[in-house]
Amino acid sequence: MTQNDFRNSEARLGLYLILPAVVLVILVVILPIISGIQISFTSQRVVGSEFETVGLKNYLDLFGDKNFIASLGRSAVWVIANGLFQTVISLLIALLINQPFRGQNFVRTWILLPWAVPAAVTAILWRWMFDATSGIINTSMMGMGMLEKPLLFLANPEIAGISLTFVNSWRYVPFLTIIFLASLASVPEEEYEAAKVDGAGMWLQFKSITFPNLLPTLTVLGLVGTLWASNVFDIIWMMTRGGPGVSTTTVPVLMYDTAFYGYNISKASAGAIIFLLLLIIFAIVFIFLNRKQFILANETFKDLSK
Amino acid sequence: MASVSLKNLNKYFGNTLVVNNVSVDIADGEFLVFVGPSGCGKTTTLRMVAGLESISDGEIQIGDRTVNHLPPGARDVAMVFQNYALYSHMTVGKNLGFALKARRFDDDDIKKRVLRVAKMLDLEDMLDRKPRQLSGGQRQRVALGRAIVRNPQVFLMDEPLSNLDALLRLQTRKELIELTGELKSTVVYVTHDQVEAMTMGHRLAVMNEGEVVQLDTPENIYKYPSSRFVAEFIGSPPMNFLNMEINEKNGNKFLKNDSLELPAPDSIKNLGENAVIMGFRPNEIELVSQGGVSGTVTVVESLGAEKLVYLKLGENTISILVPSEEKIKSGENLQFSLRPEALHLFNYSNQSRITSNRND
Repeated sequence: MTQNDFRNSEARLGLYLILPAVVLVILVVILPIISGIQISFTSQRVVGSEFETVGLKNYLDLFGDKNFIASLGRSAVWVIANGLFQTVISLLIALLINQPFRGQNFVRTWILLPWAVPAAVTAILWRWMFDATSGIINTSMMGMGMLEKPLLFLANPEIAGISLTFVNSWRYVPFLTIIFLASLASVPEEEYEAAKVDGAGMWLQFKSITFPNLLPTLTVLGLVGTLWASNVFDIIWMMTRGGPGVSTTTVPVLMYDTAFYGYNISKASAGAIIFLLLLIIFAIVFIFLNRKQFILANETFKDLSK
Repeated sequence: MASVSLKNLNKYFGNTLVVNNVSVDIADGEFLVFVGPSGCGKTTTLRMVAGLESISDGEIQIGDRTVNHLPPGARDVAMVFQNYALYSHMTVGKNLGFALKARRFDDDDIKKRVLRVAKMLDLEDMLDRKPRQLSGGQRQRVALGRAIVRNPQVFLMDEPLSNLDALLRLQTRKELIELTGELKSTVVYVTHDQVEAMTMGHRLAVMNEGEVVQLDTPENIYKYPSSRFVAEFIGSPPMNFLNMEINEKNGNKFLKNDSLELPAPDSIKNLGENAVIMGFRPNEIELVSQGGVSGTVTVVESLGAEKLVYLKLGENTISILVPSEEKIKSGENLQFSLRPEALHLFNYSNQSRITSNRND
């Protein structure tokens, strides 16, 4: 067998191996998007009903729809709040449990638990704990005299968003922590030793060694995290249904509501497509602006997989 | 610069004693080399001086300060690491200036000092490069510059030349000797390479299994190794060793094994043992045409100026160095003589030196 034959047969094997994944992606991602695009140009109200093609009408309607515009704003706030909170907290936890201590391996493994809990369980669990009359948070805070009357974590429009951000972060922080830990493990220990001998304190070590080494990871997580946070639907829907009022109605929640409670699947599809386009534009701009970090991140992950 | 004093240093990793009662006084401006095989505790000792390892027992003084409980940054030592440990995300300039920045020097001062060191080490054109854009030799110079720029009390160097290729290593070795001589630096240097140790050190501390087994000048260690271990470790090609019986004939003592017999030197006349380890260096023999020790040539290695010849003497194989002009073929019989002064005798049971060839 010549080298070329070998390479061809290797390439063919590779093709066979990715085929199932490609088919799966086509069936559950590409086709629904195409179907969504088709529906968005029609007047269809519910799946299976009669409809006619209406061109860009749904899109034009949405641009004049105050609810939709407001939900875009809420989505933006949601993404930024979740992004900042989760990044800072998970980085702090990662730095903390990266210090050697007894039971480190145990903590590193089990910290992932909240991430493995199904969203529905998380939602029910926290609704319970947030409950005004019997929830553990209100009863214990009142018991300790920190509160006079119960806080309406989910029913007060001013704090519902914060409560949801907290619960959503509770889910994702463990995962981000693990990613940061992996990234911290790739920072050469010797650089810290050199810095210690050079007289650098904790903060200077973080600023000049840890942070630059984490930057590629942070950048990649910035992108992935934004996309994940943008698409969060389950937690919000199961805890507040977008309420009270519309205070926690982000774009995915509004589109679900429009499609299945407002019986307007074509309008919801158009909204979803607009949201998708915005995210794609964001991703392209983000990657372009941070292209250097993405190349470095690629190298880091290659190093890690060695 | 300052003196360094290690007093009864011990280091345990768990229950394993890796540094055993090490005591060395290093004078101000001295170049002291810890040398020994891997795992002998030399690097751990150096790291204790740096403050990167805690001290299980004993005391370290730099100048007249006891530094046992000072963090590395407060000990005013600079370290050159084996893999250089350059800050990978900083330029060469930033690498050189980092320690000064950590000590809050002002920017102009940092710039001035960095430039001076960069000039000294021929790094001026590379100040804006990142470490990964440098060759091995350049990285090594940056690591060295990072230490020099601080003008520390003591330089600690952990096998700084071991990652360079052979030619560059020779050149850097020479430069390092010149540089530390000019700066009158106190240097504590760690290496497993005995040639490096011999050429660079004012004094060597030969270590084995956590202990300093001999502390002396390179010349004295070479001439009067304190034990069989030191004799074998220092000097290249390594010393030959033969186990000899001590026999007595007509009131005169002889050293004897299956292939040779020599009159015993005075130093063992009163030794109460009946066997001894005899050592001699491959270059301390003389070829003779007759009357010498005779052996059969097994392998001849040409080293250029010399030939390393392996000889079979009865049960043993030894090596000798001969001028390359000598025409020697394997299978041939060869005779050489051993001068009594060239013999090193070691106690058979504890392997320590018994002869004293010194005049004192």
